Amino acid sequence: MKPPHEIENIEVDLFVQALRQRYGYGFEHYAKASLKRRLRNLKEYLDVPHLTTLLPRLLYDETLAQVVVNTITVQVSSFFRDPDVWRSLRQDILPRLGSYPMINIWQAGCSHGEETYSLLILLKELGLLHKSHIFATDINKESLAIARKGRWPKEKLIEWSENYAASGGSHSLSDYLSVEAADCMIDPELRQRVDFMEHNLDQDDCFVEAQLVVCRNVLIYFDNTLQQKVIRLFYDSLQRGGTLVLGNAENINHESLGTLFIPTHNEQRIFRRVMSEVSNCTGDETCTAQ
Amino acid sequence: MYRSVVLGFSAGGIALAQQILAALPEQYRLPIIIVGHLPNGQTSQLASVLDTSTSINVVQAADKTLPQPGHAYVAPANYHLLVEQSGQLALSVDEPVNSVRPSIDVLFETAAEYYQHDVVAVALSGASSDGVAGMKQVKVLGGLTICLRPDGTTFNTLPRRIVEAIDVDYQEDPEGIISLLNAMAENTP
Repeated sequence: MKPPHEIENIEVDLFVQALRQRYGYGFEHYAKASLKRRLRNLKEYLDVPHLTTLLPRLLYDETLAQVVVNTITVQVSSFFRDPDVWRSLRQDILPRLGSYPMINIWQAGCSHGEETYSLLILLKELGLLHKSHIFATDINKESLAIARKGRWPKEKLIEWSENYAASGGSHSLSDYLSVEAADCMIDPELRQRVDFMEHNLDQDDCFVEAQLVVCRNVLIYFDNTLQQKVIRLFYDSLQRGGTLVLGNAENINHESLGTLFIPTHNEQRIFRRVMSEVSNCTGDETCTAQ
Repeated sequence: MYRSVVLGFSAGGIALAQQILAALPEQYRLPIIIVGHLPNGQTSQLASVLDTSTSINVVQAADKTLPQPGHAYVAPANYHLLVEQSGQLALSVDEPVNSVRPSIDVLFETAAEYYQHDVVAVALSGASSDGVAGMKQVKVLGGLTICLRPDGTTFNTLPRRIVEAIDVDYQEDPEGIISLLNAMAENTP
């Protein structure tokens, strides 16, 4: 007799197959252990005895499919999470972008937008906001809607303010976040410099030439194959010498990708896109964003 | 044959973990995977704190690492640590479980599912129930369950709840746990 967790593995596979064949989602490239835990949460949330109870509805009911995708792709984030990373962005990375006439930033996996607006706050404080544009993308439509609104429950405001201060912020986070009843809302000025767009890292192509790509705590949810594909996508989306910021526990350690990026801040997981994939750079391959 | 040790602790557990790791040989044959909580809720320094006390190579767990003998892998601050179906380590920033991240339950449950009866799970001290459900899953799937004797620690909520909920294989003081861990590694081919 198969133990229940092995039967559950079969259910997860069937679910992933249904999402692939019916809707084109590539969850087979997601890290299985986390995916399974999320599907377990979904089962509890929808109060069904087994995941496979949902299969017929999953195939015929697109609304349910959307709930499923939203549940298994939702991420939680914070303003200025990992303050050291934001300190490096403030002190080293963003000031160097000042020489560009236009600054393009892609944040992949923006979730509810907390880190997107953290970037916008830094750009404002550095006097770069007027010529910056952030393309913030996520696979999750619900998360994008929240991010667009720029409105979150105010419970975490104290933690976020501490993060902001620890990252070297010299103002107060409440300068940008106003409390309204149970929520806090972002300064509308910041919202003008960002587009929140749906983008599926597994399916969709390069759409921007950016000087900075920020993608934190997304790759840990992907298998090796998808990780490599996405890092290649970041390479293609970055100008020569552009910067890639990953999550604190993420790295670029696939042999095939080792030559595409050079670490510049080891602890903060900040990398620079090499001038050219071939090591013999020629003189015309210069870039001001070094 | 056992293939891995998972070790979980929270309040009061650092000194115990140091004592146990210090008594294991440099080339200890089972990889050790650790979720531990520092008193202030931070785990950022845990790998280096533990590394100084043992000849085993204690590192912060990285995504997709395949656990190796002679190494201990510690969950990074604010990440759950999981064992994948491939046997590789995985990390997540999913919501806290039992109000904590990393959660001992998440590690123990995923390790139990991958290693099944080939895992040794060790729970030390702690002031919460995080670890009980994970230990139960290890027991159900046939792994070896070892718990600190509840009367051996001030922070005994975790071991007490474990022995109340599960018929663990061993309840030991730290010396007893060390002997067991050494014996289990000798059984590895």
